[in-house]
Amino acid sequence: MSSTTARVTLRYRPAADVLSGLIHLGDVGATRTDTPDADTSVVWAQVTDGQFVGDHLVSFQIVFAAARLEQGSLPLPPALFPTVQSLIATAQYALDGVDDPVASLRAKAEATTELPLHSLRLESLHDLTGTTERGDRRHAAQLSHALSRLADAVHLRVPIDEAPAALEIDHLSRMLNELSSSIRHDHGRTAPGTTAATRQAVQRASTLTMHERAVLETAMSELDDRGSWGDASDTLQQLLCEIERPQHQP
Amino acid sequence: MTDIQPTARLDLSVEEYVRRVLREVMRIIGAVHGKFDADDIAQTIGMHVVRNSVTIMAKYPDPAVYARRRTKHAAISHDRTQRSQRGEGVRLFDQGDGTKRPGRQFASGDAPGRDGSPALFDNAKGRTNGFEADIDEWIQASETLQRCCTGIPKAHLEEVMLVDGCGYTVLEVATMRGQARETVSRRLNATRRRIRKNRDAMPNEEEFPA
Repeated sequence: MSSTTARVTLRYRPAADVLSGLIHLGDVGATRTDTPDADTSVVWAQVTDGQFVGDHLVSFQIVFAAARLEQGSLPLPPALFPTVQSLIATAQYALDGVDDPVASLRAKAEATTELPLHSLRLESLHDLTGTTERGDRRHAAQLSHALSRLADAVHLRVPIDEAPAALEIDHLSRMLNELSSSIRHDHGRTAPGTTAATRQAVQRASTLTMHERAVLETAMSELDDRGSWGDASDTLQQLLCEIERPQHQP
Repeated sequence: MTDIQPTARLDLSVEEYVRRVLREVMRIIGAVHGKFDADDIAQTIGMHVVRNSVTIMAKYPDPAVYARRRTKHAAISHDRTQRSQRGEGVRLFDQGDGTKRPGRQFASGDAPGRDGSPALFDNAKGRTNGFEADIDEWIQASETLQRCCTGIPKAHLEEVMLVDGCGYTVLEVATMRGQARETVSRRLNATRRRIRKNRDAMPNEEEFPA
């Protein structure tokens, strides 16, 4: 580590879509682990950078990194984006022709880069310093239940004769279940990675109507903001009613 | 008889199950440890699921539930293996100030020396004063250890070494001995108490002959 830059090792596992990073700052002593949301964990440590002494990012892990990157951006120092994009793209490209599922599950890609130390300061990374307080457990349980019911309802619409469409609906149903599980187990933390991946699955589900897709995307946006979870609950209930209604009619 | 044939959707469901287990394990470990270890532990668990997918998927329809059950034990085993490989011993002991220290007091393999001295192999190569000091320390430590173990049957000391030094679980040692886990566990605790008692009864280090 030089006085102004730090070496960063990035590791990406395409099977799980998880990006981890380790910043080589030498012996940093005591560390503090934070989880700003259900899909992100970060470790901070106090480091001296010239005259400045304060918390710096030591390592991070982002679940559904590629999905988040495609839907917006990652809560990382902007200087890291080119390396992250190139790492993810290379890893996904390398797996394109791999037929062995075990090989693709084991695959991981690594890259190293240098970053200015000041860009790793706690003060510079507002997106990683969000509140770690959890929301109302009861509210989270209600939302989780609604998402789980929606996953079941969507799964009933798997077309029998169209394999690609069936796979798309299977995937969407799994993503809704994962989102439900993330919200339930993390008791009120948002899961921006899982919502980004669910949004991608919604966009690819060709058997859903335009209206259903639009409502689902609205629900995902509301789920990303804990203040809008009440609205998300209403949106999901409304969609559930619409999806379940035709099946009860003769 | 129902004959289940593999299909693209069935294979994909196994693959998706493993992917979700991987993500869940990494979420859990990341939130606790926040280290690269999360990746290695997730891979170990993921490969276990691949090998036993039918049984695991039938028993745990929700991958998150399986991941949560499996992660704790896998993380402990991984941590023990890592520390054992680094020559630090497999157990961490509370120092009373919120921090923990490795169970083994003396470096083995190419571990860094105590008090920030260089790695042991480098010392051995260079034959510096540091290495001689390490040897003196090691001889003194051996004497201390012998005194600590005074009056304790060899078989009981072996059990402590197997569990605290080599990383075997109490259950594994109990299986080797052909005894109940509780019996071995009680005996281990008694042996550790006796070692501590012997240590406390020893005079201060200054009083030892040079």
